[in-house]
This record gives sequence, C-alpha cells and structure tokens, in this order.
Amino acid sequence: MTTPNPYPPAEPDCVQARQDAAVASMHDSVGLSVDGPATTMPGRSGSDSVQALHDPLMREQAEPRDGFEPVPFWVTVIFGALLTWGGYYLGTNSADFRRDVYDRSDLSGLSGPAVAVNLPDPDPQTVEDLKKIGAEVWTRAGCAGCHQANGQGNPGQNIPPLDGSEWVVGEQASAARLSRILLYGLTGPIQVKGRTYNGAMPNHGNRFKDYEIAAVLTYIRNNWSNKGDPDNAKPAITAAVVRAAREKEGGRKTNGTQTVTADELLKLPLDYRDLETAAEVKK
Amino acid sequence: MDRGMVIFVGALLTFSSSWLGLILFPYWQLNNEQPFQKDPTETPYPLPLQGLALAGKTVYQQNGCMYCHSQQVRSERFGNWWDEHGQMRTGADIKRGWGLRRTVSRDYIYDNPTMLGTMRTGPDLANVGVRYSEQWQHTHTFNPRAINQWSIMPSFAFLYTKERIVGERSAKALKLGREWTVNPGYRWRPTDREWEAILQQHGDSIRSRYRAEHGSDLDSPDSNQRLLEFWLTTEEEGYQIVPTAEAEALIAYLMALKKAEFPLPEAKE
Amino acid sequence: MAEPAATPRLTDRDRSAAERAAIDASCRGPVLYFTTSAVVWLLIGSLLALVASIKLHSPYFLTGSPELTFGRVRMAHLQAVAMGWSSMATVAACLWLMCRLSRAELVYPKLLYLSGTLWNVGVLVAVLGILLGDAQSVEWLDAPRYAPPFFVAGLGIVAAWVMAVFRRRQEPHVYVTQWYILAAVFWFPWLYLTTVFMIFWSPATGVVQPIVNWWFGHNVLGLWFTPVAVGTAYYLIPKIIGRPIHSYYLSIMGFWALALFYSWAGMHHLIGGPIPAWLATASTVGSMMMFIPVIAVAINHHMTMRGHFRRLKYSPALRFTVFGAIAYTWVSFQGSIEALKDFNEVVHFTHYTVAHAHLGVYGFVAMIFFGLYYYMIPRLTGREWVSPLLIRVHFWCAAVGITLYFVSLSIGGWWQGRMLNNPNIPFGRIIDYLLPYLYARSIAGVLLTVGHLAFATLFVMNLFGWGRLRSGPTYFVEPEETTPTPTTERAERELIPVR
Repeated sequence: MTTPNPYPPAEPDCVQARQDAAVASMHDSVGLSVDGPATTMPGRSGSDSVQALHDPLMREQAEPRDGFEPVPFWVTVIFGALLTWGGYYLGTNSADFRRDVYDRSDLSGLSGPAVAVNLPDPDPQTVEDLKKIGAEVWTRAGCAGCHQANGQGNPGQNIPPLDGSEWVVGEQASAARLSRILLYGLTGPIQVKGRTYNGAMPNHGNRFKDYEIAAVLTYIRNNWSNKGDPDNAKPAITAAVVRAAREKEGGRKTNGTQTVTADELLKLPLDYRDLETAAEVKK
Repeated sequence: MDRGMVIFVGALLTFSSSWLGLILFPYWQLNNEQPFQKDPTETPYPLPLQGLALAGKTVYQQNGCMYCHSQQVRSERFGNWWDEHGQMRTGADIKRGWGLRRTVSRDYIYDNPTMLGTMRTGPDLANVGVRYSEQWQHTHTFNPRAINQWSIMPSFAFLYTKERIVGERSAKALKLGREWTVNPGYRWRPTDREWEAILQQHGDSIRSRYRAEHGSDLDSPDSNQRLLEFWLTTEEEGYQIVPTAEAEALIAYLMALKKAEFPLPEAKE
Repeated sequence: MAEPAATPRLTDRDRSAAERAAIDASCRGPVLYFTTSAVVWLLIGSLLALVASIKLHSPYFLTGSPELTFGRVRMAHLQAVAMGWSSMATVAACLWLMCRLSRAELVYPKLLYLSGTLWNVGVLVAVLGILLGDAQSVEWLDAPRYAPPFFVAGLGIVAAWVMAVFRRRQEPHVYVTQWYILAAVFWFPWLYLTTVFMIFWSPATGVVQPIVNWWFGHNVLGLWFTPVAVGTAYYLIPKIIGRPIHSYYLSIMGFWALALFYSWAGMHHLIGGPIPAWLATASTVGSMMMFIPVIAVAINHHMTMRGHFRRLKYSPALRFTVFGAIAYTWVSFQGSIEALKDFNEVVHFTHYTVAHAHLGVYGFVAMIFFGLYYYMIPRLTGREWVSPLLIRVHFWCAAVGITLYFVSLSIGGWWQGRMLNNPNIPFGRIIDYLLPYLYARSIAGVLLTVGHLAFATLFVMNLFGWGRLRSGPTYFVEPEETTPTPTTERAERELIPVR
C-alpha cells in the first residue's frame, strides 16, 4: 500500500540514490536488494520498500538532545543528607574494617568474652519450668522432624510414637532409661505400643546440656495425652538425674558411637535410679 | 562530556574503586585464612572434604541444590521475633537448631565453590550433618514427601535404582512402604478396581499380617480403607530401592556438613 | 546562530532522514540478528521459567528425569533470559543507538555476525550443559566450564566495535545514551573476566568466592543491563515526544553517581553472612546512595514527559518505555531500602528478593527493550507492526503479569521472612503458607508467556512481511486525527543542522 509522500524530495531520487549507494557498499545486503527487501519474500514488492522505509524516518523527530534545566535544590539537599548519613554509618558500623568481626554491632565483644559464657546454666525444678524449656529444646533439636509434631512418629520410617508410648509414660518408663536413650542414642529393634521399630535414634548427649535433656524429657512426658508428672513440684527427671546417668555410665561416648539398645535398657530394672533422691517415675 | 577520554577515565576510576574495595582488599584480608588448631594435638578445623563426600559435593553442585538451600547460619543477633510474653528475642537461625553458632569465613576455606546460597525455600544446610541420620537423608532425598507431607522439594528418585531383590534384601535398601516405591519419586495408590483385585488375591494374607502387627482384627466400618492404608505402608515384595553411587556420595556430603558445630574464637555469638 | 532558520528547508529534513535511512540500512543485518536471537531465547527462557515455577508448588510435576529437576531448570532459565534474551537485546540496543547517535554507519558487520553466533552458541552450550548436569552452582555463572570462552569472545568483539564506531562519529556532541553504552561495554568485560578468573580459573579461598560472585552478579544488573536500558529510555522518551531531555546536569549527576555507587552495592546479597561486617556496611551505604542517580534519572524522564502523558495512550514504544522507567525508579528505591540491615533481616533468603529481582530485570529492563523493539524494528525492516490487537495483548499480559508476580511474591516473601525469623513456627507451616503465592506466580508466568508469544508473533510477521501491510505507525488505539504524523511546524523547527 502506498501513501502519497507529504514531503516530496527536492531531487526525485535523492533518498533512493543514497540508499542504493549504502546498500551497494555494504557487501552483505541481507535480504536487501537495491530495491529494498528481496522480492522473493512474501508480501513485499520491491519498489514500495524505500517508500515504506521513508515513512517512519520522515515522521521521526530529530535525534534527542539536551535541555539545560538546573538541578533542583532539594536534590542537592537529599544528596548531601545521604552522603552525611552514609559517612556516619560507614564510620560506626565497620568495626575498623577488621576481618574477624562479622556482626557490625559487635565492637564491644572484641576484648571481652561472649556474653553468655559466665552465666550459670538454669536448673529448673518444677514440671512447668522444665516443660517450657523443653518445648524450646524440642524445636531446636528438631525432634518433630522424626517423631512428628503430634508425637505419633512414623511407623513406615521405623520412628516410634512418643504419645502414649510405654517407654515414655508407661510400664517401661524410667528416668534412667530415658536419659540413656537421649544421651547416647538408641539402635536396634524396640517394641513400642505393640509394634517393632528398627530405626536409629540419634545421640544428643554431646550437643545438649543436662538441663536441656531433662527439660525435653519432661516435655514429652507431659505433652499430648501423656501425663507423666502430675505433681508440678516433683518432676521425675531433672538436670541432676541426667548428670547422674552420665556419671554412672562412666566415659561412655555421647557422639553416637556407643548407643544403647532396647535389650540393654530392659536390663535396667524399673526401680533403678541413678540419683537416689530423684522422684520416682509414675507408671 | 563530549570527549571519549573523559568518559573512559571516569568510568575506569569509579569502577576500579569498587574493584579495589570489594575484590582486592577482601582478597588480601581473607584469602589466606588457615584452619584453627588450638594446640598441635588437636585436629585442625575445618578439614577438606575427601573421597565420597567430595564427590557428593559435585552432585550437590550439578543439581542446583544451592538455589533452595542456604549454607550459612546467621548470628545470635539476627532474626528477631516476639515470644508469648511480648518480649523481643533474636537468633532465629540458631534457635531453629540450624547451628550451635553463626558461621564465619573460616568454616568455608575448603569449599570450592563456596555455595552460601541466597534462598531458603528449604531449610539451611550448613550444619545438617548433625541433625539427621544417613537413613533419613536417603529416604528424604528419594521422595521428601515420604517424611514431610508438606514438602515441595523435588523427588530425586533418579539418584536411586529400583531393582529386583536377588537373595536377601540389601542392607542399603531404603525402608519405605509400597506407596513410595511402586512408582519411584511419586506416591502411588491403587484405584478402587485394583484394590478390589488385590483384596481378592491377597486379602487374607494382608489381614493376617495386620493382625500380627497390631494384635487385633479390624472391625470398624472403614476397615477396608484402613486395611488399604496399612497395606500401603508395607514393603513391596521382591523389589528394593537402593542408592546409586551418586546418591551415596551426595548423602556423604550432607553428613559432612558440620559448619556450625566447632567453637571458633571469632564466632562469638 | 545569527539568523534563525525560520523557513524550514525540506532538503534539510530530507537529508537528515536520508542519513538515518543509510544508518538504519547498514544496521539492519547485525541488529536484526541479535534481536531475533534475543526473542528466541526469551521464548525458551519463558518456558523454562514456567516449568520451574510450577515445580515449586507441584513438586510431582515432571519430577522423573534428572534433566528437568528444579535446580537445573532454574539455572538454565537464568542463563537463557540473562545471557540470551537480556544480553542480546542489550547488544542490539548498543549497536543501533550508538550508530544513530554517533550518526555513523555500522561497520564490520561480519564481526558482529561472528559475535552474535558466538554468543548464541555460548548460551546454547550453557543451557544444554546445565540441563545435562554440568552446572557450576555459582550464581549467574552456572554455565559449564566450556561456555565462558564464547561469551568472552562475543563480548570482546562488541566492546571493540563500540569503540570503533564511537571514534568514527560524525556528531560532535556525545549524548547521555552514548556515555552509558560506552561505560557498559567497558565494565561488563572487566566484571566477567575478573569473576571467571577468581572463581573458576584460579579459585579464591572460602568466602572470597561469594564476595566476588555477588560483586559480579549485582553489577551485571547495574553496570550492564541498567546503563543500556536507562540509556535507551533516555533516547526513546525525548525522541518520540520531540522535546529535549529536561536537564543535562541531572544526566551528568545520574551517570557519575551510578558509576561510583552502584558497583559498591553488591555485598547486600550477603548481609548477615559469614563476611566481615565492614563489607556489608559498605554495601548498605552504596545501596542507599543509589537514591541519588535514580532520583536524577526519574526527574529527567518525568519532566521530559510532563504535558505529554496522553501520548501513552497511543504509542507502544513510549508506553513500554515509560512503564520500564517507572519500574526502574520503584525497584531501585525498593532495593535501597532492602539493603538496610533491619529490613534485610526479614526478607533475605525469601521470595521477596525474587520479586524484586524480577521487577528489575523484567519490569524495568525487559519492558524498556520491548519499547525499543517497537520503535526500532519498523525502521530496520521497513514494515509497520501488523496488528494493534497483538500489541495490546502483549502490553497488558506483560503489565498485569509482572504486577501480579511482584505483588504476590512480595507479600508472600515478607511473611515468609517473618516466619523464618520465629523459631516457634515449624518449617512446614511456612511452606503451606506460601503455596497460594507460588500459584499466583505461576499464573503471572503464564500471562507473561502469552505476552511473549504475542510479541514473537508480531516480530516474526514483521520480519517476513506477513500480514496486511500498513502505512503509518501502529498505535494501541487509532488517534482521532486522520494524519498520525506530528505537526509539521514543530518538526521543522527542531531540525538539527545538517552538514
């Protein structure tokens, strides 16, 4: 389709001549013959092409050029404010560009020990306190990853339930046994609620403190449908109990290389206690 | 600004400031970090990956695991929330159990490439070697939904082989019910018609097996459904899923990831 | 000039048009080669993106084969859209804009064909290599070991070419777009070579690698894509409207502030990570200082557009470009805030960052390049776009798609971050929470892909001359006036002096 050119060139073939010359000198007229796009391409005819190339070019504005409005004053103000803030922030949060300080607010920690080192470990003595810490340890240790958040375990994965488990609050439960399971880990088959589980309970004794193990054991004994410690003032498992279990086991490794087995646990009588003054585990 | 030389020199100077400040200077500061050894009798930390774990690192790299899993634990002061008493607390990464402390540059000196990661579509893995057993890792990698229903992690069943059992079941075979192994990487359920057929053929043995494991018969209205659920958790007869060498390597690598365990003097949090 | 050229001489206008015709004719082959390759990679990248997005909320989708596992598809997607689509569109912009603004014809076309071929081979090798299992798991540089030589060679040719054309320039004044192009083709090879050297050829120890990696990754965005895209907007907006750009001084301020500050911002990807505190601080400051150039550019564009916003109703090139320019302001402001430590604590590692990244590379860079295509391609092929309907489909799919993408992942990502920071919330709950946002992102992806298909259709039809021939520009909607060309008097008045 041709449109009448509103700007007829002064010389009839001015544009076409330049176009021809440009194309001829290119040595690589991709699909572009002197008449424009090759006539073999569908939908195009040669003589229209220059005209068509002409149209967009003729209606184009001039190439862009610069105006010279001044920079608004408020931009300079913002720039200055940002530079000031930037300098201040860089100065106060760079820890003297040290390579061994990772937290930008940690300048005070350079000369002193870490904050928590000198504080003594907590030693909760009530079921409520132990449960509270135990819930946190439960999350931190990722117990729900295997035993599930509802304590039902995963039979297909050889992970026994904790809710209603006889080893937690039933006829097989004792502080001594539970402490050892957590401290050293448990491998080999174990019967829980009428089903055999042959999995691998990881060790936790080298990564958790005694009060944390006592806390999480109290938590599972008093969570879901378990009611292991009815008397708030008399928890069956405290930090002292777990510590006594460690001592009784001597140098037994808590890194998973010396796990307990169910047989070994069964050999521990139910009324055996590592710590004589510990409260008895309710059946 | 009509002179190319002005543009060139300006671009050179501005850019080289960052090149000096963010590349050369940190290189000078951090490139020669040595492992930590309190005294000569202790093993230095960290140690380079070796053998199977090193091969596993390549599997991790080639499958783009880094793009969902980070490998850096943030400090005790990072990540705040408000607990049930309305008190602000910090240190979410550590409290989640992703590490005993924050990770520092020394933890990565033997990593090549250093896959810190910038997405936590999945949990952080810097310290995953202490959290799960090898068996868990294999099962999870094979089909994550066998362990966590909510997981969106892809199934890596192509790293495992389903083979006929010849002789005894392999010690390395994954312990999975048939719903996970009939169609590796997916979760299988028989159609109603298929279940009917299976019940006709094997119903008695399934029921007696149920009785043996649970000690009682099924006698509730949905016993058929519950029998199906039970049957799906039993292992598929005659087949086992075993890890390929790649899977063993990958899991060895994951078990070797213990970047936030060993106490380092510069990791004060 | 002592005497204003009051009476417009038609030969002046003719001659400048003739000059531009010659320039466009000389550019035709190589620029079309790069633009066509870019569109092909856009389609491939969109497909890979859709697959990756669906896999995130439906993990059983295509989970059987190793080649299509999420990690690999995600890495291949990035290579296809970053090195394929975006980079090749960037090179096409560099070629055409440098020629136009220098008023010099394109030289050494064969070298450019070589460069384009090398680049295409490089991207192909990267994408296939990643899917087949050779990826490197280095952000933005996942391509296997054998791919970088292709990029280095292709890029080197383009950089040398830009210098060659610049030296041949007929136009004594160097416009702001040319500064950006010159700087970009100088910076990107330096970035690429340093990073490939320090991560692959002579690997640095430990965390030095991610430090170099994110210096590179962030600067690909800020010192390769951004300058050329901003330069393109600086060209198209005043050009289409026919006014000068608002302030030369703001252009200077914007350019040098970008050059100085942008390259320092890279470490904001590692805030809270195992890097020394001063690195994170330096990048926070660099990122915040980016307000300066972004404000300067925004004022320039806005004040040039002022009074002419009604043209957005008609011109596709202008509308895409202005959308991109507004997105630039928005994404840069967002990025500066995101680099502040307290904000970063929440959104680091989340989908919020993914939303931000896509607003940048798509909402800003891609939209401006779409605008460039709509303007440039008819001038190269000599044919107008055949279908306003397809242009409307493209625009609305792109605009709605990227908005949906950004909004859904920003909201989801923010709450994901808050929940990640609360250890009492189990991880599973976070995943369950995110699912609807991930579905929304897939829907956005489908919209974007439909837009790309419309765009590719238009492009192919224009390239081969299919469809009904049109005369006059293809607008979104036809304007009320019968003659679509601008008023003659204004056009004549703004002639540049012809030699």
